[in-house]
Amino acid sequence: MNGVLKVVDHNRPGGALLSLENLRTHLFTSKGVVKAVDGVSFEIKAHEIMGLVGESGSGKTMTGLSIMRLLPSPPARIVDGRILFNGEDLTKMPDDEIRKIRGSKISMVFQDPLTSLNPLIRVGKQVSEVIQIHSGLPSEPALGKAIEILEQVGIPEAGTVASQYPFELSGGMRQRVMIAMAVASRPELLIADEPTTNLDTTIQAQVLSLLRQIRDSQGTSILLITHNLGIVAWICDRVAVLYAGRLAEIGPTNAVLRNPSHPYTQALLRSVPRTDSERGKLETIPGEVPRLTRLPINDCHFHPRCPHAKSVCQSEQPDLIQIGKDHFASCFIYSKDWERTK
Amino acid sequence: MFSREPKLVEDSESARPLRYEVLAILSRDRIALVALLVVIAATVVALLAPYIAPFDPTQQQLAGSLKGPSSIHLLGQDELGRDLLSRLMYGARVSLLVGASVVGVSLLIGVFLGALAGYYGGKVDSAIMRIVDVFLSFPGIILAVGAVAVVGPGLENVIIALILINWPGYTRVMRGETLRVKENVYVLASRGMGASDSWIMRKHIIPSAISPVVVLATIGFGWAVLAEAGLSFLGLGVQPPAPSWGGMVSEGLEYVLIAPLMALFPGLTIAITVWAFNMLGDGLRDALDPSLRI
Repeated sequence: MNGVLKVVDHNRPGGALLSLENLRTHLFTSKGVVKAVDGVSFEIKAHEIMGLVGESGSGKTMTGLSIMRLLPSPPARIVDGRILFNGEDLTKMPDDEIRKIRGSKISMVFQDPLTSLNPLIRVGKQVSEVIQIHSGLPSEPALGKAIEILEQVGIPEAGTVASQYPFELSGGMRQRVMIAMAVASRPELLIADEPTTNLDTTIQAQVLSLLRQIRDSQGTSILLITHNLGIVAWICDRVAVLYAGRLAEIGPTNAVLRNPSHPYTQALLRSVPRTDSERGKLETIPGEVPRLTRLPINDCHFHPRCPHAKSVCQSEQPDLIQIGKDHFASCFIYSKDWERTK
Repeated sequence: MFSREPKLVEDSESARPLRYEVLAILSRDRIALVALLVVIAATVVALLAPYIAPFDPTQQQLAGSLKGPSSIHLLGQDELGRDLLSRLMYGARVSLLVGASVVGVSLLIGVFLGALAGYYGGKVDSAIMRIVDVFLSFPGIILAVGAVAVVGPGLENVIIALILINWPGYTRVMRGETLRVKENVYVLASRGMGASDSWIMRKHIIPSAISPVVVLATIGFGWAVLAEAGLSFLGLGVQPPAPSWGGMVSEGLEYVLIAPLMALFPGLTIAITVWAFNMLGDGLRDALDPSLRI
């Protein structure tokens, strides 16, 4: 855990907009402490799209909610670490200040665009209310601005759509509305939690293009939480791979996908169905995601499923080790004396 | 799972606000429609009683004591020769005033406290709900009788007593609904957009959680009318000579063998009014049920 901090402050011409330092978010449940996020560090630079991948329960969403300070509490609590946004520690910020940041400087788009919209309020009003929260504009000009923003996110006939209820819109349109709400105040960071999971493939591509377009036109940094490596390959500049609440690998998308270094990332990439290879059985990763309540403290959480595991993997936690430029993996294979270890 | 295609809704339909939809569904429910008409009629009569009542409700005409219906006194006269129809019309004012104020105030208290308890949970919730439990542990009408007996009879005291036993029910329903509504992703999303607690409650929680409470209020209205009649019957409500339905039943009871209509008419009026509010509540519940909408 001590070496994790190496990632931060490394090679940063643009400087970090957001940096997580050794973030630990635990869930205190009746069945024990779930270490949902257990010492995660990474940074997001300005104008960057950062992917955060991992399977269900790996801590992706909890990381996003921690940044927004939207954790369900109880049971969740940030127990350690810092979240620096423009140099300010979000974990220590008073509630009314974090509220001013939410929606104006950091926004979040959730997975299911139908349930993220209030079914009783017309679309235009929902967007204009977000504008009102931060600008204090009267409702009429706010609605005008809302329609403008709906147009910007590619909603045709925005004026008509604004007077409709969410259930009258398609999934893709709803997600565009959510994105409109999220970017209405031109945030510096947009956290998108599986924004395309419930959408058709073509609509997925449109929504992702929209995100990229927002980054390009407004300079918004995006933290894209997903389990889909295809999306990562398509849109992310860098990617962080989470496994059981810890960072397995982080680096530029190209480097991580072409040269996956952590055995987990390697296994993950092998289990992506491909159309260009010959037919065969789809590879899976043996074993299952460990139960987060029963994890040993000092081990590599992946060792029970890892083909390379040695005894050291059961007794020590690996640090992040540099693989290439900006590319790190937390695996003992890359330590100097791996060959000699048992 | 929610990525299904949008429902094809005709344009005229789609532009309609929710309240019109509720009205449209309500108007297809015949019983609720009749009930609504009864409620409207009772309200109109109560409001216009001084203009449409044929006689002064307290004007005595001893010559006509206990006379049955005639062309001048459509529903007959009571033991003091007062016009029963006029008394029923004026009595409607008392009943509806009690119903409206009891339900209105209980609703306000219930929505406010219930939303607070459900939204914040924890200690706020425990504190509010324990008080609610204390009130709910008494049999309602006995608590009201006791309260009125202590502070003395009269319209205001009846209203206060009925509010006292009514607000806990609204609070409990509102709290339950709030617990359900606050789990919606749109509440989380709204907080993520920087909304404050009071904003979320005003814009999201209360509008989404209030339907069952409104239904309860409609039924509660009938209940309050009945409770007022009961208290007036026991002599704890409106004091004579002012007319009230419960008091009229009570007076009529003394002469039930000689002039049964004197108790029957106010009794029927109470029954029809309470039935109407209950049916309206039923109809509203169906109309507000999202699973039945479109």
